[in-house]
Amino acid sequence: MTAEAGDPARVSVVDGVTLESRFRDVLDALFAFVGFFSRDGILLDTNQAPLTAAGLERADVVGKRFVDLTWFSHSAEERARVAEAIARAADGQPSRFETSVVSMRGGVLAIDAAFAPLRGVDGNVRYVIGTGVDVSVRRQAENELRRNRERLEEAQRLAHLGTWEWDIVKNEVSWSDELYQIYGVDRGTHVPTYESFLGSVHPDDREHTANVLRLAMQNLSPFAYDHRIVRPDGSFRMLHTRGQVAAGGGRALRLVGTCWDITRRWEAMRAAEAARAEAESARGELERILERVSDGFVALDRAWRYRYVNGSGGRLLGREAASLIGKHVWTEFPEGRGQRFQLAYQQAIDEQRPIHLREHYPPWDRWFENRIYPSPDGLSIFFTDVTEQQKIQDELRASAAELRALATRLSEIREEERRVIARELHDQVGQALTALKLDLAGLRGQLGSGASAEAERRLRAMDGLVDQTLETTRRISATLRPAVLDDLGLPAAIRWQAGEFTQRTGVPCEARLPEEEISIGPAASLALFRILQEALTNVARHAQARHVRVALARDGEAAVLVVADDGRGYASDEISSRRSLGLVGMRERALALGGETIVTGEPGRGTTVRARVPACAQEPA
Amino acid sequence: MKRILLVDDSEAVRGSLRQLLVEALPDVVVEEEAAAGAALVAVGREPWDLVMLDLSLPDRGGVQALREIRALRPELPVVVMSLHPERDYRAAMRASGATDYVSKGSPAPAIAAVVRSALGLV
Repeated sequence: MTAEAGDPARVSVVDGVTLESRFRDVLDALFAFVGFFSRDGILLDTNQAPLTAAGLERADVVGKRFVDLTWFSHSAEERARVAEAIARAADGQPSRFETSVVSMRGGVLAIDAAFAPLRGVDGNVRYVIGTGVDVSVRRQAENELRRNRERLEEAQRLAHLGTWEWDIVKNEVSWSDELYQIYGVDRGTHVPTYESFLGSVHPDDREHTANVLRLAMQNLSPFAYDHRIVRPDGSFRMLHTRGQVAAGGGRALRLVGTCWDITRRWEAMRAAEAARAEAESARGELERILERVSDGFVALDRAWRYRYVNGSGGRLLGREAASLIGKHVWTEFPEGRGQRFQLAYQQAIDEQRPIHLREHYPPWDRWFENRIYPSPDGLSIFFTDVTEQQKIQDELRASAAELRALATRLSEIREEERRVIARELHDQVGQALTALKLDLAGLRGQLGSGASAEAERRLRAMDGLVDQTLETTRRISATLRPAVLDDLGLPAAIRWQAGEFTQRTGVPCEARLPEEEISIGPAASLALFRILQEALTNVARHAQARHVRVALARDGEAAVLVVADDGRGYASDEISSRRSLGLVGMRERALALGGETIVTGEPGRGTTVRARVPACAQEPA
Repeated sequence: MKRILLVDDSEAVRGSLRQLLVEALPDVVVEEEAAAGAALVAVGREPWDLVMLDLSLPDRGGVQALREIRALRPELPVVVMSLHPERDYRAAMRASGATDYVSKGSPAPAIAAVVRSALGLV
């Protein structure tokens, strides 16, 4: 439509610079721009359509330099190109190029422009003719198409989705860019064919792949399946391939389809499956263990419902384990609600720490040992029936208490017997001997100097014998029950005992006693005195001490006796493990009055016995 | 003349001691009691120059009896006696308010000396 003008037009223009009217009508109807220019670029005439579209009158443009018109106001570069094209045409060189003009509606229109010389009969260029066609819509569509293609490829790349087409008749295969990526091959060197495709399929999947494609071609039906491929570098990919068949004359001509790289998803699924299987196996193993243990095990959710009960748990609760699942624990066992069971469960949840509870369940009169652990979903509770154990413990405790009472009673009886014997010895034998001794003295006085030497000798012998017997009696009596304790009280008795010890062993025994009179009852006095005797006996036997210190003091309501030596000492564990009756006796003496005896020692640093009893303790009943 | 109250629950001992005292001290009267209660009655009833008090009496301890005598007659000398050696008892008994202490097993002259001293005869 640009330079299709016939002879009439050419003649007309050349002759009168106006267009022949018939031809003008045609040009005016054209949507495209047609303009006539002087050789120096002045627009001499143009058709109507571009003027109408631009809202201009012919007078607005005719006679003006073409490139100065508003059409080119947007770009100096386009003005230069157009001016140059007109100038070239004026020199006889036609040209065609794409330029742009300002649209009256705003924006810029793409224009397919052409400029050509118009020659006179002499062959010289007289005018320049220019045409322009709006190609904006076409350009837009082209751009859109290109962008779409780019987007599709981007999408394929992102989705690891490739497309392919197999022309069966020509055995030509074409791949999208992404498919080359998926197969790990280079577009420049790899030529895809059916055979090369089948070759890259994993050997284990090859037969299946061939079958799928054969059946699709045979039945002319769409297909979809998963298969692995091996890349040239040896790595595997898992692909999901879909395709359909284009047929002609009842036979398959082409296969078209997509390949989706699902390796990541497949690996994730495989890992998830493996993890699930592992968890399942661990859970199964755990349940097998829980079923084997003799302890009861229950898992509770946070709403106190049974989530799991093992076989032993069911037996201990007297229910079928499975029948408890989903049931509410305090509905099933309402007597436990609000009791220490519930408090302990709540505590384990609140404090998120294990709780140990040994508790009696009154409805069954059974004792249960519970180990309650908080879990993410609620609680895990191990429990076992310890009724028999509890009974044995109670009995043991009772029998230990009985034994202690018996031992205390025995000790009292022994003390009483000693006291009686000591008293008898003192009152009967001792007094009689005393009288005898005094009488002997009296007899000697009466005989005076008249006694024969023989009588004098025998009297002296008798007096010596009485003295000896009296001393023996006194010693036996004091050993059984030191009269000094009853006569003079504990401080004096301690001083006496300390003196006795020093005399007997040669080891200095220093007694540190309260200056003022100290009020300590007879029971406490006796207990502390016997503890002192026992402690000193141990010192004499084992300690190899060079010095012993004994101290007595009141400490509030208590009387405290301390016996410390500087002997070889005992290790603490030696003391506690020693089955020494002496140590046990010291403890029991104090315990019977509600007090205590603590023995401490350190090898090489001596031993200390510290006894503490209520000062006014009564004799135990 | 000195009046001595001899308190001991053993009749044999009382007899022997009386003999010793009479022989050792020419001018004494010796009265006897067998229990602390009766002795206290006697102390409250009439004047004495000395009480010889056994430490172990059937009705109460000698120390207690000593305390009660002291309460009745603070100036009355009291010599406490027992079978135990002086070594163990003398200081304790003096601390408890006794004028002196003597072991009944001591030689007769020693006993007589203690009594004389308590009576202020030396």
